Amino acid sequence: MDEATARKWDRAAASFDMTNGVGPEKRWGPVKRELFARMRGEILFLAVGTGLDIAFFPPGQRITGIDISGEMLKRAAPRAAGYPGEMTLQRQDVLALDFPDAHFDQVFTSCTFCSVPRPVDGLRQLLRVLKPGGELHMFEHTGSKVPVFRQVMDWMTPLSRNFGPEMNRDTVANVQAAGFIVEKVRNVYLDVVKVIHARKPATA
Amino acid sequence: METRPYFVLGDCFSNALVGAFSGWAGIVWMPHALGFWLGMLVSMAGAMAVTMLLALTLLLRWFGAHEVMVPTMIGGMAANMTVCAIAHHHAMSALDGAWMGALIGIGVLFLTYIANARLTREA
Repeated sequence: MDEATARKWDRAAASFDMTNGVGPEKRWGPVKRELFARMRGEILFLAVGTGLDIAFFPPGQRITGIDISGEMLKRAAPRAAGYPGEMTLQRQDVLALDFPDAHFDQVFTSCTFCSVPRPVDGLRQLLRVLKPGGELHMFEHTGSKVPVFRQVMDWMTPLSRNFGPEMNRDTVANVQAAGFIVEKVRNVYLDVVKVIHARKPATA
Repeated sequence: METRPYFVLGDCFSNALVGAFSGWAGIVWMPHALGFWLGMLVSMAGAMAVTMLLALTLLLRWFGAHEVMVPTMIGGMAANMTVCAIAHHHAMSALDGAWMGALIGIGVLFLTYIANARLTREA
């Protein structure tokens, strides 16, 4: 377990809903609801945080939500308990997932890989726990290829990484580097907020 | 492209506020003794520190999210640079600097909406 990262998110937990629970959830809510409508089978939801996204999950699914922060999970517990389906929460680090190989049909992430310290290693863990042909669906903010946006995000990152995400990651390239087949990428806001659909090769 | 009035108005408010503050800072916080370029950098650094704090706390909470604050910060920088440059050659009041900064903030937002329409259509 990466305790430094866990501590960072433990510290962020107390104010997380206050900063992220109104504007960001309202703004991206419809996109997330559409993405999560794809849920089926045995599902891993990564970095569940305080559970704000649970409101957008379709009912009746079997979902395992994980997070590296115990403080986040404490806040997520009542939301998970209210989910009209089967939802369990576990404290786990994506860099060392304690699940057997080929266990899940789908993995969902929501603004996660902006914060995982070694993103390609984390994505390789997801590849491992997915069944062959299993699906990875991501709602992520990434760096931009537009120079002016990229530059500002490069400037903001040293500050933002202290309390939360890195603003300038190339998550699509990371997904490919980890061994996934990227099936579709949709820009939601500029070329920064993206929905990424990828699949584990059937022969992997 | 964002069309919900709450967020369109929120984007306008955020960019105008940050632009106005940065424009105001371009007049009030510009240490002319340091010369134009260094003075502008000092003024901009102060304005960016305050507006980044504002953007990543209050504005993010209400109009979210981190990434939406990127054009807001660009608007702030453009406002500060432009006001500093104009004020270096012509007398300008802090209020005029704020007005000009707000307009530049809105202008940058408009360009961002165009870029957003194009980038979200391309993918």
